[in-house]
This record gives sequence, structure tokens and C-alpha cells, in this order.
Amino acid sequence: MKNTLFFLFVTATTLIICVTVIPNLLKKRLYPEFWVSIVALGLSLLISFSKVFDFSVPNPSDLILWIYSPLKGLIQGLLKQG
Amino acid sequence: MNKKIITNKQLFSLAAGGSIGGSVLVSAPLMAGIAKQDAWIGALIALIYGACYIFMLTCLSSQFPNMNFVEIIQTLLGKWLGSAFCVYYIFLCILLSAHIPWYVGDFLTTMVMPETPQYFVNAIYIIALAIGVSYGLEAFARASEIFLKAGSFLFILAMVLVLPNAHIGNLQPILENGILPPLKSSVVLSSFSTFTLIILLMIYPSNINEPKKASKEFVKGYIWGGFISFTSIFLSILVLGWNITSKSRYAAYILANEIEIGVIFARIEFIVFASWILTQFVVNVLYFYAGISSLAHLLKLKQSGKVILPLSLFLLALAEIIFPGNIYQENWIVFGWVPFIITLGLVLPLCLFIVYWIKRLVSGKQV
Repeated sequence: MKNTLFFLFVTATTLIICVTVIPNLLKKRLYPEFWVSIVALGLSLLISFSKVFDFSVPNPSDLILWIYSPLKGLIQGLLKQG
Repeated sequence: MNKKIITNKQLFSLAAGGSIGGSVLVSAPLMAGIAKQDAWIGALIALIYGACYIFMLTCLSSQFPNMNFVEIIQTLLGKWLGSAFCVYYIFLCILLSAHIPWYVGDFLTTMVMPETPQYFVNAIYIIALAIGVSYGLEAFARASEIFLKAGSFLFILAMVLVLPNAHIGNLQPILENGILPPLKSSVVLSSFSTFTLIILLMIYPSNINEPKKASKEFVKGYIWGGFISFTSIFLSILVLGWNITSKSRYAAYILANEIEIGVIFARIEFIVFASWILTQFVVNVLYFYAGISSLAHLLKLKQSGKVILPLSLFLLALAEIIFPGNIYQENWIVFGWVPFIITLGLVLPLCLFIVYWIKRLVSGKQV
């Protein structure tokens, strides 16, 4: 129930943006803006789908953890001494 | 976007708000966990070398009076490497603009409204954020002056009211394990309050009215913000002791719970939350604005205002998945956030500085 509401909210907002903002962008030939909007809306739809249908999407925080994982031992020594 | 619209006073409040908002409620437990009763010394150390750091930033950016940070990166590092760093920088801005709503939602759903789903709080906050960014930099900078005054007043009021509960014994023994633990804890504080100010290079000095006097205001604003976060950490340890401080998620809020003067003057801990959310909003709008304007620069968007609405929806969705839980978040702060912000906030400007001097030596004139 909780996640369904979230899904409905995101979908409704996406629809509203698609109807009101996107056609204007195409009419004024603002193609970079169009693609940025499409990617952002698509990703938010994907995330809201993942909440309802219970599949996992890659989390950007995990990407950061993965990039800095070679430094983990160093940071452990520096900051987790407690 | 390149209008000269920010006055020096507004730069002061943006810098101070940026420095308070990131740190005041969140960093005290981590610092107390590392340095125990000496965490306040760490806050002082962070304040001192933070001021030097801000001075370094102003030195770097005053060499390029008409460029923002993304343009500086691309001029100094070339097209491909520069663009790669820009993408990383945009990633930081978008990621952090989604983290801050998560903190606000987490605070409210933990402390105040446990039955409300977090995305309700997030949605209201992000709607305000989208409105703030779409009004533009000038309107927002003016608002930040009021936010800073109100936030500082409420915070200092709370801190004065909690003073009668202080126990000086909580500070002793001073420097029990030497100077090393406070030094380590100062790294945590600066990764929340100092290095995040790299974001202000998007508007300093290219959008400033009088760039010559602006650097002083920048440093002053940072020192005011650092003073506020020092006070919050100092009083948390003085009143609660390091043990409770390190175990509570939002130490300054727990601290304000202690306010009880007479019978009438109790349960006013929410003034700390008010001051926090006002300054937090300043940081968040700065980050979102910086993300959008660097995206606009990188992809050559003509009307960047058009992408605010889709990106805000994306932030709302991102805030829902970004931290699966509190333990993940505490772990992420130490192993992800600290090295991430040090790379972009400290290492990148230092590299830019070195590249600038090498280029200047080789060509023998201004780059």
C-alpha cells in the first residue's frame, strides 16, 4: 500500500510533465533539454516500478562505495578507531 | 546565468548557511565516536584549517574572474579530462541533493511522525526545493539572508537556554589520548561543513557584485558557520557527555530536549530543528542549482529552467532508494562520503592550483 501510493504519485507527476512540459521543448527545438528530461523521468519511473514490483535497481551510493573500496583499510584505521 | 547579482552580504549568508546546514545536526555523533570528550578540540582545529582552505579556494577562483567552477576545470584540464571531472562533479551535486531530503525525511519520521511514510515528507520538501531553484539565484540569495538570521537566532537561543544543564566534568580529562583523535575527528567535521563549500565556486566570483571585497566575506561567512557547528558540538559534549552524544543519531536535537526552565519553558526542542532545516535548505538549493547549471554548461542547454521539474521528480525517486537503512547510511558516511568529498573538495582544487602554476610557468603569462 505504502509503495503503491508512491508509485501512483510518481506516475501521475510524470504524466503531467509529459503532457505539459515536453511538447513545448520539442516545439522550441530544445533537444538537449528534451533528452535530459526524458532520461530523468524514465529513471524515476524505473525506481518507482522497482518499489512496487520488488526488484532492485542499482544504487548510486553503492557506486561511490565501490569506487573507494581500495581505500577501505586506510579509512578504517583513520576514522573507526573509536 | 552570468549576471552579476549577488551582493557580498548574500555571499556571507550563503557561505555560513552552507557551512551550518551540512554539519550542525549530523556530525556531532561521528566526531564524539572518534575523539570522545575531545571532539570540541577537533571542531576548533577544523575551523582553523578550514579558514585556510577557503582562502585557497578564493585565491584559485580569483584568477578566473568570469568563470564558474566547471569552466575553470575545463580550461585547466582540457576537454576530455575536464569533462570527466565535470560529470563526477554533477554526480556529486545530484547525489547530495537527494541525500539532504533523505535526512530531513528520516529526522521527521524518526523523531516526530513515525507513522508517516518518508516520501510524503520528502515530496513536500522537494516541491519547496524546486520552487526555490526555479525562482533563480537572486531571489534565493536574498532569502538566504533571512534564513541565516532566523536560523542563527533560534540556534543561539536554544544553546543559551540549555547552558544551565552543562557539567564541566564531561570535558575531563582533556586530551586523554593526545592530539591525534581530535585531528581525526576534525576530518569528519570538515567533510560536512568545509569541503562542501566547493559548491560556492559555481557562483563565486562570476556572479558577485564586487569581487574584490568578496573573498573576505566568504571567509567570514565560513567562520560564522564553523562557530555555530563548534557550539553545537561543544555543548553536546558539555551537557550530554560524549557517550550519549556518540550514540544518538541527531545529537543537537537530543541536546535541546534538555531545555527545561520552570514549567512553561519545556518541549521547545523543535527550534533546533527549525534552524537546521532553514540552513539545510540553503545547502540543498545551492547543490541543486550547481548541478543544474553545470549540467547546462556541459550539455549546452539553452533554457536550463526547463529541466528543473523532471530532475526534481528524479530527486524524489532517488531519495527513496539512496539509503536502504540507517546502518547503511552510517557506514556510507565513513567509507563513501568522506573520501568522495575529499577527492572533489580538496584534491581537485589542489590539482587545479598546481596545473595553473605549471601552465603559468611554462607560458610565462596569464593562462
